[in-house]
Amino acid sequence: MLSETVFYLLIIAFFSLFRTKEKYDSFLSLFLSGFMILVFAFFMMDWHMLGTETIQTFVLDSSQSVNIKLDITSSKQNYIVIFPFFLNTILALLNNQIFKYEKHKKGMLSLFAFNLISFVMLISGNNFIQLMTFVFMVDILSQLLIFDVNASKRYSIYNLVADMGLFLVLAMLQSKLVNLDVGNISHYYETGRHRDFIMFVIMLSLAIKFGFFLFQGYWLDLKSAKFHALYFLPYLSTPMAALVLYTKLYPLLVVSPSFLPLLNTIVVLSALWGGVSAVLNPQIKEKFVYCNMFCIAFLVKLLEKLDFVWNLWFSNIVICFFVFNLCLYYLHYELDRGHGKNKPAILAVLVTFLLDLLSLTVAVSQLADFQNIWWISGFGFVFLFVLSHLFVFVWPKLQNRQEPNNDYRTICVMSIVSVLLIYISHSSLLACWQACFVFAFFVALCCVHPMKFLRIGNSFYLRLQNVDLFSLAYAKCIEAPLKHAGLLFNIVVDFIFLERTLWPFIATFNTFLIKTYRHISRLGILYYFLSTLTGILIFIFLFYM
Amino acid sequence: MLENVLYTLPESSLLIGIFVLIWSIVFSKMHGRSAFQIAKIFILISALFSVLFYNKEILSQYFVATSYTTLTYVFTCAVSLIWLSVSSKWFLAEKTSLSEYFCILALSCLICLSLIVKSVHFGILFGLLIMLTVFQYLLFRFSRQSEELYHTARRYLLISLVFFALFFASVALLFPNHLDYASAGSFIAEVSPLQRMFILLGILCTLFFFLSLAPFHFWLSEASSTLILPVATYFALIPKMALFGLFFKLQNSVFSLFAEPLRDVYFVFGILSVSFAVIGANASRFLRKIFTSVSLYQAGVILLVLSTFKEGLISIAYIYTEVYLFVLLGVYICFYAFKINGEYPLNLNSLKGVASSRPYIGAAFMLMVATLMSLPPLSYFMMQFVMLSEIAKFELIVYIVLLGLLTLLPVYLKVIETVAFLKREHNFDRVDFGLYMYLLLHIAFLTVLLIKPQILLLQTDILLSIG
Amino acid sequence: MHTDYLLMLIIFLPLIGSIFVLTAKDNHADTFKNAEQVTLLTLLVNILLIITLFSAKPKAEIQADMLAQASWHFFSFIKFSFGADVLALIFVFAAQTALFVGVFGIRKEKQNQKNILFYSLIYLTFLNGYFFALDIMSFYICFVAPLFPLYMLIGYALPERQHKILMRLSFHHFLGAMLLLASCIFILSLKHDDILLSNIDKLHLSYRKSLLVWGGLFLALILRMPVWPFHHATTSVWSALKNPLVFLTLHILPISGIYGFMRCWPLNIPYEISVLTPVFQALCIVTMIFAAFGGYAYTNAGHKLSNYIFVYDLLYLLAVFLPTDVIKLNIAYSVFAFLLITSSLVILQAHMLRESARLNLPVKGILCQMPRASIAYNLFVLAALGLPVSAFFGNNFIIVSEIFNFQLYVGTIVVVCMTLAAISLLHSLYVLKDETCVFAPEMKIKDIDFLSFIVIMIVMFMLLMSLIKPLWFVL
Repeated sequence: MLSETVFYLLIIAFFSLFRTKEKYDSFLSLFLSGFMILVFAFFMMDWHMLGTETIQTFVLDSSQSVNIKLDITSSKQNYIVIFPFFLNTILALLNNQIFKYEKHKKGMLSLFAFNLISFVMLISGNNFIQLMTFVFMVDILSQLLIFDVNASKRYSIYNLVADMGLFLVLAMLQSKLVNLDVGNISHYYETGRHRDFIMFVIMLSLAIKFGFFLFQGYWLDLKSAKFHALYFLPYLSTPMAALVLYTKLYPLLVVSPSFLPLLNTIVVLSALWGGVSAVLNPQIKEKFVYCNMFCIAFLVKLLEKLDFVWNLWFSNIVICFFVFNLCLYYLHYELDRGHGKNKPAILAVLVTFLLDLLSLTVAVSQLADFQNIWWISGFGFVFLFVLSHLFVFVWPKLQNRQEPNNDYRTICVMSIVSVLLIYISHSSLLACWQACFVFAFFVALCCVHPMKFLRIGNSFYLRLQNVDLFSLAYAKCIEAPLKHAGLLFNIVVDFIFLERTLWPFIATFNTFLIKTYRHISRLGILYYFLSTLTGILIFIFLFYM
Repeated sequence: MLENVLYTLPESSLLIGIFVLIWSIVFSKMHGRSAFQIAKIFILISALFSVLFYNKEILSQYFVATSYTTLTYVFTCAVSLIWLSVSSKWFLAEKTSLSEYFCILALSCLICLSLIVKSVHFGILFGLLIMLTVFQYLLFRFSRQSEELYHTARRYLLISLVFFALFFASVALLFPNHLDYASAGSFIAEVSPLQRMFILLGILCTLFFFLSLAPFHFWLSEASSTLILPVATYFALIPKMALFGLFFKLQNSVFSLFAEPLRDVYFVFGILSVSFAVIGANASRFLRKIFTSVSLYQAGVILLVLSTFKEGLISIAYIYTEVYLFVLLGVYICFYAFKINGEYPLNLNSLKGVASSRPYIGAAFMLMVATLMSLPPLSYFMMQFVMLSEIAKFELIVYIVLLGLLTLLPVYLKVIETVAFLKREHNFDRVDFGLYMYLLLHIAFLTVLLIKPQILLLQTDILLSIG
Repeated sequence: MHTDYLLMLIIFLPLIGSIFVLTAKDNHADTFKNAEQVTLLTLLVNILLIITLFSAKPKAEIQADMLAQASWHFFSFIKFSFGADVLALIFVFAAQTALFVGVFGIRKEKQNQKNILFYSLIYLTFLNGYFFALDIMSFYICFVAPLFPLYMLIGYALPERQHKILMRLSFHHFLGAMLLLASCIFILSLKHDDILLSNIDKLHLSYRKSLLVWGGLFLALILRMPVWPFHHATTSVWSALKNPLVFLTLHILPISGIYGFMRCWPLNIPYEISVLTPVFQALCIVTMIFAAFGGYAYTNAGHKLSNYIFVYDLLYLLAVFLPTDVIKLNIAYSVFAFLLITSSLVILQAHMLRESARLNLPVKGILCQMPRASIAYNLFVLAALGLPVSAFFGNNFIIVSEIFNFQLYVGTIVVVCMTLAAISLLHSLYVLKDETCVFAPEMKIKDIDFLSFIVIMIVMFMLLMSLIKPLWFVL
């Protein structure tokens, strides 16, 4: 049951937080990692033995307006969706344990565990509050995983805006629906309105979380974070949380006639921009970001084409993209930091890379049909192009003739990954002719390397990147107007109207009265007589009135 | 015969006190403090006799003693006792030899006030007011030689003559058979409107002058900052209760018959008083002037309330007057405690930061000011609330009273700010232990009223005999 | 359990504590320490008493009924009634806890500490009375009475040259007091007997009287809120105040205004003033926009926090005016979390400002040198953003959804303003954590002391537990 999985993960997470002596740290973290793998094994067993759907509900608060509860729904569908995240977490965990420069192994383990719990709760939840709670939890944990203040600044702000967009939409829904269950969502259009507005806000929030075109700026900021903290973020944090939300909120999207055009526009623009930038950008981390932008755009569109049904092949695709990240990371690590000394490791990475490519092809081919074959092919073509370029980008460093290094860590990780890849796609791997075609095409691209003929536009692109148009646009079109509006309100309305108009008027009137009074009082005996006379006259006048 | 002599003891004891003091001036030079002690003893005796013979009088065609007049007089005596006690400290500090003379004047004024409260005859009232004016003029002149004060005293006398002329005209119109209050009312109701107007004009304007209601308040507001502290205290506290007592009595027996023409008069004079009070308080930086303006505001409120001519309001207005005078007494006791190098400061700015040097006095002073701000649940607020509840039908009056209070607020807050927050510029002299005791008693009584405000309403039975 | 005695003890215990604070000797090295300990002890005991009162009835009944009631005949026709239901207790609990945290914020202050503690306790006495008041008279008395100690507190905390704005603020408050007094007078003149707050709308008032009563009540409570054009004085004083405890006492005042509306205001706005409802809502929205944009424009962390508080005060005001009763408890829980969060943020900011002033350093990046303060500030900013680490998030969600139920555009603007306010707060966090600012080691920047850190973490724990169950402390 998923509730048991969550329970075990909580134990792992809390035990990882304990402070121990340094010499026990690695032992404890290894032990807990092993325990996590065991939990994964239990998870797989539960999945295969699962019968009917069960829901466990924990009521947190009950009031006149709403019941706040936590649901954990153990269903086959939920297991399918959780599976890639669990597996990716295990792989990230392995990397964390093995990677020699990571000092805070226990801390990272704890963060991974909490992150996974958040995903499990997000996926298995049945109500809006739970959904939002764990989307927000994923955001917070991502920032902790980034572990760099400057890198995470825009990340936090952009995701906050996206989260508030979701907050707005779900608050609108809650006001019109009987309860907060996700299943009730389709009833909104029986009672509510504003389908376009809701669709637009959801898409905007999701686009920010995916890091799509116009909103990729905060992902680029992550280049100042450590690479080994960067590779898993696209597939174990906010973009994936957004993907899960996408599958849960789709009834609100599809009712709007503007949804498909908007989706296609965003996806195409993101894919194009991601692809082009991945190729032209000289920085490896930025290439990495843009490549993932492209991949996520593909996932989003694919899910739409699958009628928002997240099946096992889709899970495999997610795993494959994650493994690509892992491979690229290790390739860069071995060739850049390792100076290409560890040739067996590099070879292991290459093998894993190719296996991953094949698994991806297998998975995609299982999902392709006559309706989506053309756009899948288009994406595939561009993807191979980009991948080959990335491959070639890092490859030259291998040519350095250095003393060999026999560090086994990379080989360990890659071996485990390869085994897993074979396992998840073993049934179709060898029988897939498309895989062979893709493999051949990829090798050809790597050999030919058409990009060397396309140098034109590179300098223009570099200049464009240096200017950082998006940040400029954000600063000039959003941030500056907001700041000026704030100052304007405060100065024009508060300062000029209140401070310089209203209060001075009252003060002036007050001063006038006081001056008149003092002036009259200085008249001496005349003042006495005048006052007496006035009083008498007033008396007479009023008496006769 | 003996009975008649006994019934005059409340006044004659004061007279005896005066004689004792004259004797001491002429024949034996007594210590200044002794003069005050003698004066206090005789005031105490007078008050006791007044209570003992609370409903006994002689010359009943001119004077009537009731529980109401006794209550008024006893209150005046109580305040006078404290006034003389704190004033003795002033005289001792000033080392002046005029203590006996001062006490004589004090006792003389008290005699006048006692008789004023008891009088039921306009002719007698006229004479008593003249006497009171003379004694008060002498008190005005009782100071260091200050040219400004000399002119103020002369102006006071001059303008008093104007009002006496008006009062005399009213008396003349009532002469000879309708000078007592009971028949005056019915007579005034029967005469022509012009005559009625002149009679009421003379009486009311004179009363307003003595009560220093606007626009006849000028003499007190001008003099308050220049008078010596004991005299300023006298004018702020002592005649007020007696004169208000007189006013309430006249209101009940005479003026209530002329509600229609007098409603607007009271209303406008009330508004004028509140307005002048507010402007005067905000305009002034002299401590005593500020609180004189506050008194003017209180008087204006009473007038506004009475302008409704609603039954039962006089008792409440009376208790309200008592309460506010009691609080004002506390304020003036604090004035005696603020001394800088032997001088009593006139300007508010001189009190900067006094709370840091004299925390208990500062705290007491702030408590009095907070009470005057009508902060609940202090007794002043409760009385004001009860009074306004009685006239709730007259929303305009309620709002005017509250608006006046609101516009006085900056003054109160300025006082508190000066005392508590500003940086101290002067060194304050040590405070006499007696002043602490008086303040303590004052605050204790305020606390009792806070917990048991019903005590104030115990007087209502007494006030029924106002007529 | 003698709940009526317990109730009166909760109200008057701070007053008793204030007397002990007052009698602490001056010019003594330990003066402030004694006064501080007395204050803390008083507040702690009061908190325990409140928790005891929560447990006075079985859990099933506590939502519906009064947990305690006391009354006494005070004067003439005036009879004071006090009662504690869950709503009142939550507000009282929040106020005590906020001030408890606030006292920790002034441990390093040097000036006027004894006076500030004394007046804070007096203020709290009346505030407790206000939250427990059931009848109009005790409501009025406890509405006005805290204004004097508040004036004293702000007067002590503000520099001399800024007393002019204090005067303006006091003017606003006392104007409200006078209007409420007028309303009370008119109400009591009708019934000639003290009237319960919940029965005001059952009175048969003439058109004019109704206009005066409801208009007066409305304005009296609004003048406590930072609604345009009355907001300027409050926000000016907020920005000028450096003393965290005094800031918190002023911060609680708008909350008391909201509570007043929850108690006195009828479900449907009286017809006589209903024509002004759109105007009022527009003013609230406009003020909220001002605050949100203003917070974004300012670079100072203190200003940002003030504007953030401003936005949420207006959110609660809008919520209170919705024609529904179902979210009252949600507003109360949200206010509880809000007060705890803001009080902790205020004392942390005060500490940073103090250190930066002491060492003549910029505030930028100062959190990098204060690990404990950094952890605490991070957590509380996250909570303040409305993220789900406290009851703040869930209850705000319900409040906003209820606003959407009645007005879509208002709801949208509210969420936009909340977003801007949250971004402003986040900006300030990143400025304080800017790692590019380097401080020399010999600067010796002091972190918050361990005891204050523990207290703040306990507050965080309370917030976390309230996420799981709002009344988790009920036995």
